Amino acid sequence: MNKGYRLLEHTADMGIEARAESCPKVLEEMARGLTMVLFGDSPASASIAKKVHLREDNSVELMVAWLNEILYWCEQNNLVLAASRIDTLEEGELWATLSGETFDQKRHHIERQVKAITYYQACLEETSGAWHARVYVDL
Amino acid sequence: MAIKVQQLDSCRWRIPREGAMRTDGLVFASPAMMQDLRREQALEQVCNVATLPGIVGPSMAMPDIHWGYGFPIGGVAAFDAEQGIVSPGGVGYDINCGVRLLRSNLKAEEIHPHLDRLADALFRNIPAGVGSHHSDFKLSIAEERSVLTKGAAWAVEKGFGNDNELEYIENHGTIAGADSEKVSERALERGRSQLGTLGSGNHFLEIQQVEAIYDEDAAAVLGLYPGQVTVSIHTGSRGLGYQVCDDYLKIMLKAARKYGIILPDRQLCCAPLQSDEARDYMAAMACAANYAFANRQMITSHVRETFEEILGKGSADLRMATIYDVCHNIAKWETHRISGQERKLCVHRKGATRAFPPGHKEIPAVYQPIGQPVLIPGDMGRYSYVLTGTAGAYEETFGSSCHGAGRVLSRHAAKKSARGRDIIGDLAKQGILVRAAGRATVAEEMPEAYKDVADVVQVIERAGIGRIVARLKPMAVVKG
Repeated sequence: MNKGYRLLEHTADMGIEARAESCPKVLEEMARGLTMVLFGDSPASASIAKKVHLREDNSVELMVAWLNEILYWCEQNNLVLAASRIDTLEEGELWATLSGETFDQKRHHIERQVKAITYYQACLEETSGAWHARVYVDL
Repeated sequence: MAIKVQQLDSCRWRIPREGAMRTDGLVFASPAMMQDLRREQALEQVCNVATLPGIVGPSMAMPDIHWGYGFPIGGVAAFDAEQGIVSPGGVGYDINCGVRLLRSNLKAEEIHPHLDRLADALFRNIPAGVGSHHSDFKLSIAEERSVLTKGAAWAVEKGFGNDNELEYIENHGTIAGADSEKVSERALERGRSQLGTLGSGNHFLEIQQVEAIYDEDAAAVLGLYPGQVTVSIHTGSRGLGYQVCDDYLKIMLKAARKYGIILPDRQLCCAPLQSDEARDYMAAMACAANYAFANRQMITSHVRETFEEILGKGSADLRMATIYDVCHNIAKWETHRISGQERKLCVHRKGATRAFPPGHKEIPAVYQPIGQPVLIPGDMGRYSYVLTGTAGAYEETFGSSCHGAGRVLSRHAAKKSARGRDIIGDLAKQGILVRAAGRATVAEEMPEAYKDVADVVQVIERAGIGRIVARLKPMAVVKG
């Protein structure tokens, strides 16, 4: 695949796979993929922002926590994600900014529910000078 | 990975132990189902479960098996109390996702003229869809903790149902050992406004009619007869359960490293049953399971009120009673006879139903002669089944049976197949009304996305791990 994200087939659930030139960028691409799973192509503006700080034991677990954090933020606050930016990424730790707007039935639609981001076949690795990530989500 | 599979008979397939597997795999499936299974990764997941420490008997999968995450959907595995583990991934995110079946005193022709209004009112009165919540009902923290320890009994105490229906819920609607101190603040927050809601995905509420009876004696005990109206409720522990699972997966990833457990898949992370991590998870899981029981109990009450409102009849006329309520996603302490000896085991059912036999002390007295009711929803266009548990299931599958039809199409494939079609219109032509919150849900949940549940329950009956009692046909479906 080229740089960006794509959705993966799964019998019951769905996967998200992304490729980018850096680890922060691939995490941002994964967030875009998750937004597509949740809200389809609903356009959203960045009227509400939130700072995120996460720390986990390794990069894969950090990626799963990152995507689960987005899921939680959107669900609890009835938001559509507009953008995500990784501000700082260190070994097992990230600081990021999420932005979005309140769900508006006239302009947005909910594509499907994601219960959680799973660890099944989750990967985050650098190969041939590009970063590759994959998760499966529970629907 | 090519999985070696040996056919044992017309519905059993053995995956011989090899590599890191500690035991064989045993899959219940027809030859046609097995052909489909070889194309996905569910069999590999059966093998992965077989590598976990302390597994007792084979790593099993029911005929609704399909590719999951960690465990396959339809997976059953039991672990020794001393040497075994518990795995949150073996229970899943939707802890105690399950089904409740209500019978009524109504005949299908009586409600036909009111079906549109009934479907609309159920859709209005029982919040469905992503993040669905009651705008006018939010639990206090103290009340929520009470829900988590009491389960369905909490709902009954608050007037959502009757004391006598608790007997007709698995574990009487309360899993013992729940400790709300083991549930995170985030999980509590997610659960506070979602009690009494259906949620999304494959969750549904369905008005049905009894279409066929296969076992008249058992049907009579269950109070089922042809043409009768029934209602099925399929939902679970909502965001609270998802969060409990996610919280404890993180803990179990660390625990697996701490206890030196080699994982073929991170999602199978686990801890020894005798560890603090496992004890904490079981206490938190019980809380989420109890939340799910309370959720289905509250929805039952909303269903009764809605029928009363639309049909203008009182509860004594409608006589909507719970036939039974079963868990699909759970890990439970149970005692089973292994090689002639009673052993305490932690039985994981991930998309599988307990199916205890006639005479088992944990099923209601009235069902002792027939065995535990096993409720098997199909898809929204065909039918669902009511089965009963058997001695065969108790001996071979730790008293377990299937939980549904099992998906056969991916969501993408289902949407592609639905393109240009009016699924809701097609179902309406068949006399099935659909009310749905999400536009993608109907396409992804279209009937063809699932195996024919008749094929699934036939395998169950042929294998002797369940007995078919009745078939229910959908009349109106509320989807999240």
